[in-house]
Amino acid sequence: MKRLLITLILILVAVYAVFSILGSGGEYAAEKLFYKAMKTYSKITANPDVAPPAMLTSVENGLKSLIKKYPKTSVAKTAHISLSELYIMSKKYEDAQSMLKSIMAAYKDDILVMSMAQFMKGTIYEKTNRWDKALVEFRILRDKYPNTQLGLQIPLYIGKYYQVKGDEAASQDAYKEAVSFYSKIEKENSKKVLGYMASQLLMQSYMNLRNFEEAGNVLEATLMNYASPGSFNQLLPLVEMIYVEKLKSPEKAIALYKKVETLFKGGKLKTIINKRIEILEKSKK
Amino acid sequence: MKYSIRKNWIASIDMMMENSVLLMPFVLISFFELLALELIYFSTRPPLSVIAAPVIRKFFGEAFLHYPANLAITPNLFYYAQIAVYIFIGVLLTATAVNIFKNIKEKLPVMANAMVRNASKRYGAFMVYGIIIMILVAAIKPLDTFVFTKAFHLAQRLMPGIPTRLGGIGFTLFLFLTNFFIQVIFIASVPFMVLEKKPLFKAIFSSMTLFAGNFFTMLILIGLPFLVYLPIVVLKSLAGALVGATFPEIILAITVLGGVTSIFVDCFAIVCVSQFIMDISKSRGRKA
Repeated sequence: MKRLLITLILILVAVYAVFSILGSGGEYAAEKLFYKAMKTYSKITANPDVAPPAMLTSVENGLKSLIKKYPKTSVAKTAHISLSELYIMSKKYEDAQSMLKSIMAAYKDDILVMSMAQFMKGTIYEKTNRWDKALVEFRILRDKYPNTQLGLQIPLYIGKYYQVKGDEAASQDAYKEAVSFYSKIEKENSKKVLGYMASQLLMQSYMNLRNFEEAGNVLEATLMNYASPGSFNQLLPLVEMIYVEKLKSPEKAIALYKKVETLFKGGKLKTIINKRIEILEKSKK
Repeated sequence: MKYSIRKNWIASIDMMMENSVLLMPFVLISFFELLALELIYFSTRPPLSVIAAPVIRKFFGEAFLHYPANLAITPNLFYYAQIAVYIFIGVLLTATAVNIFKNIKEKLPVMANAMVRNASKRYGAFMVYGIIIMILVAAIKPLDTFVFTKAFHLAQRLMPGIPTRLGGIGFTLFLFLTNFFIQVIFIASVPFMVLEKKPLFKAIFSSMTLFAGNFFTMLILIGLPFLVYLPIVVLKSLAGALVGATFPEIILAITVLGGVTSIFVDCFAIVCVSQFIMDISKSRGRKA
């Protein structure tokens, strides 16, 4: 019995050792290091200004070590980005800029990484109160990477910046620029996911310009062109927000609901729409 | 005459301590389970990822091929591995353990290899038994979910102070109890097949009759030892929170702990039930 037990334990140990050696290095080991660094990083992001320097150093060293040991892994890409974010968070802007330069040299073919690096370049200027230079970088992001999440959202980000600063005129101009940008993207990518996202952002741009009529028109076009349970769940709450709250035209909301209702054969969503029509018709009386 | 559970437990513990060969079948079951666990642990890394990665990607998603999410699905994958081990080898080895018990009781030689070969003659029946039990356990889970959800919602309506998060651990305990009941009802099937050489379905029926006729005795006889699993079951249900507080590999540690514990608990339970059957047969003058 003892011999059997020892033999079985040895087999388990041997299997563990063999697979550990065969699977060593590579993506998994890099992921483990990244997880360890990010666990500490998440504590820093909660309140970066009071994070102890030792914590910042430990994350920095962890990420640097990962990049050095596993440079070809996809986790190394994420580690580069995280390290840049860490430098920006701890106000080490020169280190961040140097890191971003090497990222953009190493990952030229990865538009997602390039867009993130481009955004961070702009962020550094923004945080150091050099908005003119930040704007240049953000415009490059918009023009070079319009098919990425960041590239798509940057026009609104620019408008929001001026809005927060209280520069009404500049924010209006930025939002008008956003309208042209999103209209173009929607046209070029009609019936595709990018077209749908551009439609939503176009609607938001009109709402920021307080042009609720146009926002309503875009909403109607989006509901018709991108009809799906997902899009209805997302967009139907905006019908009353625009037509009832902002435009004070419940009859337009009812008309749109009735138009959208024809696209359903049945189901929970149709019941909800019928209920909303009922409530709006009662409130009209 | 009232059956002495205490005497049964003492006799069973004494037998296990004097004849460690009784543990051998359960050690083997645990070995195969832990081997499966190792393969699951390494399944997201080369070379096993060549086969495992497409399967994990299809059924769980890309995220679970990466650390630490791969550890989050380890208990689920281990559960399926346990089912396979139970059906293909677990029941056979349990039958071998009962055979070893019988030989020790009758002062016959204990040759483990010969007993495994002997048990293999009814491998088909043991496999079918394993499949029946697994189907029962799988079938009972949706019913458990339905009953518990209704009961918990009712409890929350009557006592609004009950936090929703208690539902998770409550459901785990409820599931544990249900699985325990299935075990207790059918645990004597394999001993009946080996000790009284009954065919499969007669043995299952005898086990159910034994439980029905000795409800509280069986519950306490098997229930108290099975309570050892309860902390492990609770730890498993809290694994997510534990990972956040400690490290992701804790999931593996809990799973291994469960595997090692089962060697002793399952062996003890089978020996107790086999002893109980023999005692009943003797008291009824039947030859086991």
